[in-house]
Amino acid sequence: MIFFQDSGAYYIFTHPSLLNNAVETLKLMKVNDVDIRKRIILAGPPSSYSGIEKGWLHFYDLLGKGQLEKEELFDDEATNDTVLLCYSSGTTSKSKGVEV
Amino acid sequence: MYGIIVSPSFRYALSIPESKPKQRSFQVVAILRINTLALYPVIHLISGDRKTTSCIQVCLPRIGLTKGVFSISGPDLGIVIGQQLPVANHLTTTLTYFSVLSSHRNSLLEQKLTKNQMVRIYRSTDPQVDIPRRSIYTHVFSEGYDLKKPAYIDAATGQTLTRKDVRDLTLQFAWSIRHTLSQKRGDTMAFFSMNSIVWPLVLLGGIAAGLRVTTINSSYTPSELLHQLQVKPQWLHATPVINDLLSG
Repeated sequence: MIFFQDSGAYYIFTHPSLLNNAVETLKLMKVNDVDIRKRIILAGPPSSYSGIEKGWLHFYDLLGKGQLEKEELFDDEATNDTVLLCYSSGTTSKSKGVEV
Repeated sequence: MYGIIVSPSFRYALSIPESKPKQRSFQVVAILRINTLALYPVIHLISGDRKTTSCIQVCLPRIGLTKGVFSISGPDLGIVIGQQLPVANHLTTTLTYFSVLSSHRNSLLEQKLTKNQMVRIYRSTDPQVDIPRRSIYTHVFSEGYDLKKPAYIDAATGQTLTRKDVRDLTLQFAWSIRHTLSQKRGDTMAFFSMNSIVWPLVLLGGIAAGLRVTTINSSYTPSELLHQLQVKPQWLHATPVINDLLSG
């Protein structure tokens, strides 16, 4: 039922005000500065920008380049595929992952 | 013995009459709430002495979107137990496996539960409802609805996204995920943000691109975030699994 070593995310989309936390986390993971720039993508409304976001890729940069005709389908048996990996500490201790 | 009480807004949806929990003399109270980030319901168990002790995840067999609001209905309330479960005054019966509990699968239940692991199945009075066998994105965007109607309104700025806007923007984002970021179906992306009008676009765009999205609590510190990015998920919550168990 569970096959992941970890959540395995490469890209981290983050609100501009949380950028520092995201960067610090990747540093803890020993990700080098060049890859940190690649892996973090900012995603917040225009009002959330304060100037620190220069030089980072942004969610808005990823709009308007093309458009899928249709979303990726997950019909019938594929509905058993995982779509969300949610983590909650459930009141106590460290967070636990839940596949939805 | 333990039981559940759902929050008032979900009592109707679960078809558990207000008076019933009392009649059953539940000693442990659980409060059902929808985890807004996760889109799955979470039960927090509170033991008889009202100390919060643990948390279990509840699988609701029927979750659907009706007019943008989550509605929950269905015959059985399955329970997935993933960690320590308080039972009356004896706390902590450790369940090291995950199990989907259903009255239709008592044999499964017996195989996986030992004598100390108490379980109750709560039946809804609602009739059976078919779970759509398709992606949540397809489910939300494939039905006939008015494309011009607003889907999201940013309270701070008044910025409004219509349903058409949401569909177009998420499919554009999905295109870039596939082509610019070179992610493929089944890859995982992390999303670390407080709520904003961009939030649903990122989530739905990721789903439209076929990715798995891991949402991260925006109050996490780097070390907590590190844990999420590195730790193995321990529980499974999957409505279709319940469906298979019920029909299989």
